[in-house]
Amino acid sequence: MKTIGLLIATLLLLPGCNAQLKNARTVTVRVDGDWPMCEKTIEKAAYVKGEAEVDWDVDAKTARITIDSMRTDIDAVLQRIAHAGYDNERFLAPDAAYTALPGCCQYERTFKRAPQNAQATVPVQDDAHHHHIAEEGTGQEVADPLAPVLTGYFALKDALVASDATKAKDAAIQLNEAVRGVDMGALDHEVHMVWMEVMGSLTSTTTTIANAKGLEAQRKVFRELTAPMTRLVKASPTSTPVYLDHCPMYEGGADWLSRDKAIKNPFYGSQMMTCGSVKETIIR
Amino acid sequence: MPVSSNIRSVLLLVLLHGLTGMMPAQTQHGGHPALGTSGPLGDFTPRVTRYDLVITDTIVSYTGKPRKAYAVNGSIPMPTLTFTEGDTAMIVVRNAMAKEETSLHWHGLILPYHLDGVPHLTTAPIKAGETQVYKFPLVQSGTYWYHSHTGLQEQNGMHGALIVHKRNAAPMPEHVVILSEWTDMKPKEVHRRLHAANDWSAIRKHKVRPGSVQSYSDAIKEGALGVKLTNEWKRMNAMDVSDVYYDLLLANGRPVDEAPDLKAGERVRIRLINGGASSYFWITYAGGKMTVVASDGIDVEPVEVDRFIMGVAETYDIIVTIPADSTAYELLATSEDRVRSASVWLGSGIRQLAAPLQPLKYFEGMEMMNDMMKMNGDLDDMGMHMSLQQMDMNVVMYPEITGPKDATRTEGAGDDHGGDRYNSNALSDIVTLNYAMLRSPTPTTLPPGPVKELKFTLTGNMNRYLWAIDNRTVSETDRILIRKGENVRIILTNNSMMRHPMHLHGHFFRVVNGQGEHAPLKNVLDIMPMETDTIEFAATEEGDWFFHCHILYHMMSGMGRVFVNPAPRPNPVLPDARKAERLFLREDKAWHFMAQNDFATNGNDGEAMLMNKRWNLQAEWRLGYTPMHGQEVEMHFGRFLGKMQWWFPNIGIDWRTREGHGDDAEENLFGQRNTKNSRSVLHAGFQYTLPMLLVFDARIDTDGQLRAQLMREDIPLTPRLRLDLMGNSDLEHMERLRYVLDKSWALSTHYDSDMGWGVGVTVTY
Repeated sequence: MKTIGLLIATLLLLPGCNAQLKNARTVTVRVDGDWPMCEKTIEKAAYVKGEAEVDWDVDAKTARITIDSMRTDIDAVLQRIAHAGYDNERFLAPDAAYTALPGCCQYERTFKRAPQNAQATVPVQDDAHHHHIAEEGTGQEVADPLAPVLTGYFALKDALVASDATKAKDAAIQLNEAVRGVDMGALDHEVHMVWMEVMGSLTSTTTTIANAKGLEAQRKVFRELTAPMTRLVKASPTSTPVYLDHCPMYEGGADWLSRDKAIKNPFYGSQMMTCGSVKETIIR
Repeated sequence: MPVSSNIRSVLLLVLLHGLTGMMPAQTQHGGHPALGTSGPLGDFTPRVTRYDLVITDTIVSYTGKPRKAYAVNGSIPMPTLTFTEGDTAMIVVRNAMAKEETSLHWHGLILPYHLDGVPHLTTAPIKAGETQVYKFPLVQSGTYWYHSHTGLQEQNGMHGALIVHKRNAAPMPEHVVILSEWTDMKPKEVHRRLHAANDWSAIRKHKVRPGSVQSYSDAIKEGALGVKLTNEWKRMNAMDVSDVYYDLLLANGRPVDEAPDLKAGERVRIRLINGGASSYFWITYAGGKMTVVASDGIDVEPVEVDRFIMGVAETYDIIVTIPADSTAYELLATSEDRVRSASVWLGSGIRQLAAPLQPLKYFEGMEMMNDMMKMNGDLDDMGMHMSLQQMDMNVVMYPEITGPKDATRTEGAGDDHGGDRYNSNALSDIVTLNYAMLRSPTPTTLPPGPVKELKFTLTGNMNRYLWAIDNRTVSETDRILIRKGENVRIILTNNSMMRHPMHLHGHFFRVVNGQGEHAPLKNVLDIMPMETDTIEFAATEEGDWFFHCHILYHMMSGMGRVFVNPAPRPNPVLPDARKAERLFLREDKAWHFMAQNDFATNGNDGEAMLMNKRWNLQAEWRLGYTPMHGQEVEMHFGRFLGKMQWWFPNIGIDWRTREGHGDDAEENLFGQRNTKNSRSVLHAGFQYTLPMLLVFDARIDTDGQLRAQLMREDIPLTPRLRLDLMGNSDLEHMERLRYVLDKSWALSTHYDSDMGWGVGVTVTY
């Protein structure tokens, strides 16, 4: 009796035991993804109790899909995986789902084919949160070491405009990394002096934003970034204008920097999107 | 190539035959230069294009459960009819069903009125076994459709595409998509439950996309209890953008449609038709932007958008590209409530998904409705003067525009800056189409003439499902006389909580949208709550023309009007005009029945209602199992008054019998004494719906007894748990908890001051 019990317990504990799924059918399909932590997301997206389960291998980039063939089909499982952000043999993830993945999970989209015309309306790979952003630069300032800091600031600002706390947190982390990754030796003398002064506050403020609990807390601290960032932009102005905007209503008055002339308020988001005015245009 | 004399005589014969002299001499209808854009007759050979349609009953199984539906030539949707402008269409329709009559309306086509297909208004219904021939010239080109105009047949398969190509059109790959919905519930039952304010469809939706029920527990979970209480204080029930639960959405009759022949790099035209009965669809495309080139069949100047919403019965032509090879791109149609979607894959290869639309933030929507709704039931647009879909109040519910859930709800975030708060295009980078962006390529100004101006206010009442214009249904008003040479201008204001796609038969109207002489022409106008839009048309077509909301269940409830442009001779296919009028108007006079009984251990407790849009005959009973508990039955008949129908004066009869209580008289709150052992009285009184949706009932009976009662049924504690409460001046009270299992069954337990505790099963019809 004891041995039978032990035997059953062992069988049930065996990984990949498909005793639960009836009419089981198993296929191995290529599913893209970069990081071991993606495994959990892929398998959770694919799993439906009594219908489908998936075991994804990060090295081989393949998923072993087992389904109850009477209740569902492989396409349904692959569609769910793609909706979670992971390209596979049958379906490509929507661009929004891909860019929503944490930076480290943004694999190279080898399944996706480039559009035919030169005017690419659909980018092959979205660089917004790619963690090699520091090396990409903005293309306008040739190898400007401060470019990733600016781009990172605007990304954080945009996330707050969109009232997206999760995105803002990620952007704050990215900006923090960008700040710490600046090569001071490559800066012009005057810029270097300003950088020495603002670097500390930028580092600590972005850390606070990254750890802030909730959108309102993030916004409150974001306000403190404006002053050092403005000093930085003024010391090394860019050829494309940067607008210093002012909102009179937030906490008695608050400023922010933007690349767009149109007012999009990061302190209130859609509650009061157009509240504010351009205080100053910073341009070379 | 000159038209040969043979063909010319055939054409002449065709033109003179079959139309019994009703066909107008000129081919340029409506006086709109926008129609008939294919150019001079020149090298074109006109012809008769004939289609034979056979309508049959059929059994379908979209969800695995067999259900009755209608098929034409064996297919659902009905087959696509294709013509070229200038052809004469000859459609031979045979009703091969056993018992049902039917009809076909050619939506958007300019034709002689007796071929328009509205039973008893313009055309005789096609009785079982009968054949009717529809023969008329096609004086326009574009994407149109056709559907049954009888009862609820449109819901179950009788909808199909009708395409009229331009003469000498440059060839371009194209794909026709007719969108529709499927529900396993019989349409008649859907309709009845809508009138009984049964929220089973919200529970079904909740299973797929949590949140639709907007119960108290949902509100507490989202920190929106104040919002929910305010909402019920203003006497609103949970709002949804659409009333009906659908099991599936279909594109060309399938949940997933394909156009694999389209090649990469190609520009293709997609002709989209909303052939649904009640759903609005958001259209998005995974392969980039879409260029809108036509609306309701008429060309507009191309406008590039990221997405657009299609009202019921609207059609849109878009041009899209297939960006990469070996890839199929998803053209996604999502219902406005975001519960379901249908996909069309353009191209072939690996499938590029479009980003799905996230679920609605219902409590944000409820908060917005609270702000807009005054206590008396009127809507207050707060000075925003909304029109032409430019401001979409529902935008507060769209996560893709106003951000994810928790971010946006802050009670009283201070002043908003007027219009932009609800302007999708100002709030985000996503470009959403609205009517102000549509422009006709050619001037559409009406020919000079006197203007007949009409003001219509759309009114509606979700609680009683009464949808009307100026609170009068089509059967409660006279037909509106218009004359040739006149221009008719209608100023539409929507004072109801839902958007309505208003459709005019037989004409196109200009949508006055700031494009001056180039106002676009449409035949369906989607008007959102609180909007005011102006449409105008020249009264060139003689006949009776229906103007109605194209949401099928609203149309059946009478939301419409009839325009009469007198024809010189009576309608040849409706010889008995008075009988026809009576039959046409009977639909919104229909009576609806609803009943509910709690089979409980302490007695049978229930009610039944037979009601139409204004009157209600209601019976309530409490039947105990023992003479001690006794029996009580009460019936009353009354009429709903007022725009919001909160007042309900009524008269009725009351019987009661009970034993074993001796001569103990009970005293009610008015100090009147009664043994309550036996009662057989007439009573008169009224009911009034108070804030928090409590119903106050006051009455006096022929014994001189007064009674005041407060009651509320169906308080949504959780998505499936409902609470009923009652208390009155006879010191009687009742509390019942029901757990909804499915559309007809619920487990219940209740306490009744006369009958004690009980558990049971509540059955609802």
